[in-house]
Amino acid sequence: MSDAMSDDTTFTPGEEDMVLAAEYVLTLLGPSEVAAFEERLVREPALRALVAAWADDFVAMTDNIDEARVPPRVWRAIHQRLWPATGADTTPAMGFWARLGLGKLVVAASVAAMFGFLVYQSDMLPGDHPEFVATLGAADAPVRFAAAYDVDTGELRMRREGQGAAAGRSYELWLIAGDAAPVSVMVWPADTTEQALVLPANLAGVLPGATLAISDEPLGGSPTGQPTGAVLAAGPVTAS
Amino acid sequence: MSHRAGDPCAFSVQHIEEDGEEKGKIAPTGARGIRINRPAHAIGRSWRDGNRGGTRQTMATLEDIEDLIARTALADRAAFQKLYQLTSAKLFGISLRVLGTTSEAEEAVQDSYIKIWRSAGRYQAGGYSPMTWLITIARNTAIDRLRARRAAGADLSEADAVPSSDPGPEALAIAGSERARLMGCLDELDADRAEAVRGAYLMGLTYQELAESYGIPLNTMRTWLRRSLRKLKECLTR
Repeated sequence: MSDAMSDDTTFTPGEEDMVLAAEYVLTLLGPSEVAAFEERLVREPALRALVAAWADDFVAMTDNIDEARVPPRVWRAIHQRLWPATGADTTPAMGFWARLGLGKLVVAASVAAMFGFLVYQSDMLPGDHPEFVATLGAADAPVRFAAAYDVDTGELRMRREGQGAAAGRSYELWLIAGDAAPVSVMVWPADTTEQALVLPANLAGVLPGATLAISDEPLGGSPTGQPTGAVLAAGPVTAS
Repeated sequence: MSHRAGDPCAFSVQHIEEDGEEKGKIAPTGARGIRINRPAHAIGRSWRDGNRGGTRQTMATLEDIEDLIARTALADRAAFQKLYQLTSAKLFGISLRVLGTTSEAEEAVQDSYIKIWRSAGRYQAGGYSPMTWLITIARNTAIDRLRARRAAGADLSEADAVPSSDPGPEALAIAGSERARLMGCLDELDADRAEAVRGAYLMGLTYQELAESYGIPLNTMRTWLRRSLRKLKECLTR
């Protein structure tokens, strides 16, 4: 043990992860390294523990930084950004889905974890400004989804407009970038109309200009990792 | 945009689900929202910066802060405002230290609290202690701004003017045991390596920038700092 620990150049796999976690917290990694590391973080609780421990360690460097009085305008600005006044000024006050012409929002209660990254219940804040949107399916199609992607938060929000999946079947959402094979984004939870999820960095990077598609799959999603059923709805991701 | 500072909300977002279930529950299988045990020292520690600014008497404990984050996750605006009242002076101080100008620090604090509101539901999954989580968001937000400013061609003189984080004797005495522990272990490193760790954390210096400032090749810098980080952890876990 002491051999490995004292060897100046060779890192054990455990040491490698421990040092990588420190570099992540110090933001010393390049974009591709960050993306790879965050993909591992999703799957590896032990790695998350290393990151949290380093964050706790390094945050001690801020212990001696004095507090500073924050001008009241800062809270007012935060309040304005989170809860723009309703009524008088319509444009900034319009909610997220209202901007997309989708009417009143209903927050989905169902939350699911799929395919290595997790979906969480969206707080659906008003005043968000998605940079990219997509409409999957024609206006009168039975299967129709709306999508919006906020670059700042990395959040892809989806709303089912049309009918749900047939009994014993599931909808699956795919991302198709250029000529690449479709990548599964999520299996749509039954009885759910709203979902939001944070895309892994590798998917987020190729989202603009890509196509989102919904396919009909066996219950629980495609067994092969590629679409096996009919594509029911699809649409390009475009700047909003 | 492509090189955003690692963000506790960015990754921990992906671990949470089942928020409606009982708090702290460890999910049975897979990469679920596992709650990592907090270090005992962090739980009961009083969040005590009250006397330093001379104007505030903050007696909130970390448990109070954690409770406010949990209520913020439930979209409780009053809890969020209280959280802001208790913690914004600290986060503003850190943003000021990193960015050096009031106007930029104000914007960074705004951005930080927007992120805190939006990602409070994912706090549990990250395994951070509450002030670490808040401060990490503020630090990363400020560092992102600082790096964007540098990338935009602003010279480094402002960053260079950032005062050293070395505490005076008085500050060291006030600081908690975590700080003493970290500083003790940084002291075990060669002085320039400890300074590189500080520069990375407090100024967001990249390997490239560190290599240039020490006048050594990039790969050497990286090897050098990685060994130092290993040594630092050995000390911290001793």
